[in-house]
Amino acid sequence: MQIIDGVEEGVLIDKLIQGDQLAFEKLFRFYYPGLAVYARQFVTDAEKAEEIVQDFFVRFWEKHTSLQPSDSLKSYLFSSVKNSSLNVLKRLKVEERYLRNIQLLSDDHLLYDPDLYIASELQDKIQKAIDKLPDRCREVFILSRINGLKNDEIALQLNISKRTVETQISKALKILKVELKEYIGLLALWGFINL
Amino acid sequence: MHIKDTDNARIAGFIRNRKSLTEEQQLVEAGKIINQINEVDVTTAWRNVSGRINQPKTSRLIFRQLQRIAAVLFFPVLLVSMWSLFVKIPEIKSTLIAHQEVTSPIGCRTKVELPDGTYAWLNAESTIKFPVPFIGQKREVELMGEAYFEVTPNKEKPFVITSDEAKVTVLGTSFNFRSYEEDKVVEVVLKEGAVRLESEYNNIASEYLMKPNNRVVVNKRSGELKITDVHVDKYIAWHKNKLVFDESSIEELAAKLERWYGVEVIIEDKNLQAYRFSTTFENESLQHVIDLLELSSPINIEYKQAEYKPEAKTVTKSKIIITKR
Repeated sequence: MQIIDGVEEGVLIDKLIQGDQLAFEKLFRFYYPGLAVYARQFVTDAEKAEEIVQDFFVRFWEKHTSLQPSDSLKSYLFSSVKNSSLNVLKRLKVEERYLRNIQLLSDDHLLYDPDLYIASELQDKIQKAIDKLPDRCREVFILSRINGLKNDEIALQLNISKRTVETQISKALKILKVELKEYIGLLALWGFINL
Repeated sequence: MHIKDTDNARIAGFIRNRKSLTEEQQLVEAGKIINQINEVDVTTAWRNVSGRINQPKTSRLIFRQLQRIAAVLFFPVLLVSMWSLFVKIPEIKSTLIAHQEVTSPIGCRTKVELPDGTYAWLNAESTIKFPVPFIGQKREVELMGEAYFEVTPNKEKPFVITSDEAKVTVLGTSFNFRSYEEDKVVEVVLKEGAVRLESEYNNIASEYLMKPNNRVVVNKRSGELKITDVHVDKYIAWHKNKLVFDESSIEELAAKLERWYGVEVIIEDKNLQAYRFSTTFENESLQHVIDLLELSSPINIEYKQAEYKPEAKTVTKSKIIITKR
């Protein structure tokens, strides 16, 4: 079960059903950023995406008393936001065939996996995978992908050949791909800054 | 027509691009997505949403009332305003007072800053209520549950906390106030400064001027006051996320764990009544606390994860079951 701010999600849901706004805020702060970027994968517009997710949360609050405690808040939230996004596209009169296409895309494409959008779980996995790398390999990898140094700068700094830098990076990527294969999307390491 | 075409073109291009990504490019794309998530301004978004969920009802209500009032008042107002062309009317000051309520749910501790700069730390399952705007002769708040206060000094405006039938008046000081509904007593522990505690239970009104390190316990049934001197830290450590047991009985231990972690504690062994627990945990996970308690006390603890009951569509609380070793 998801833990949010040290509290089990189920506890927060129970509180939400009783009308506790603080519990609602905790859930909101946890899920909102991911959902906002998820909605962007449908409407392709950041502002519109945030609008969709905020509208959704207002409706979600309005019916909090009729919620059923459930163990799958995550899938409920993501599928609701997906439906809202598709409805907005319909309202924009986007052609039926494109709607069908984007729906198909969202069913099995890696970039639409809700797990990619729940930052805490993801960052945790990535951190653990990086921690597991051999020392030298990890050092090169962090300098390259996280600190953004160029290969020859790393070579100079660590006093190794540029060739070694390249082999260490590809070794790191290979290991991480295996470690993180359940979330392939994660190899986010390309752009990942918050580690 | 234009809008329709650009939307279609944009979406079509987006789909084409997504479909043609190689595995490597997907990874780069995923990286961008995570960066985008980190950049989302959740605070502004929350301000929008909380504004929308709190405001519409009251403003609509006030508006409707104003409409009604306006209809009734229109004619007199007309008269008055004509009259006031000739006679000066004293200025009327009116303020609309609403109440703000903050609750710390089970398993949580919450720090609240009141409009006068006073800090209140709310323990789990506690609620504080105060008027907005926070003005008047006194600074009055209502409390249910437990809170630790650091009151901003202001000699002109005493700070008054009411809970059930007990009332604490202070000028500026730090102290802990505990009065859960199911508690048999109200307990106030004073860290520094001075406070006046008034209570009226069982038709017995009492008043006591507390000094630092005083702990006053009011019995809700008899109205009796019991005053002792204590080490204050033990009573206020919770607001610094420390869970303190000091010669605590198994019932006290169970009650504290239930609130602190939002779990259900079951004591399966009556033989544990005599045992006393003394230990302090700081920011520990429930699992770690269980392990340490088992190590240091003659008990076994079984942890049962929360369960989903499909037939009732409910999730039970996680349980911890304590037996004697």
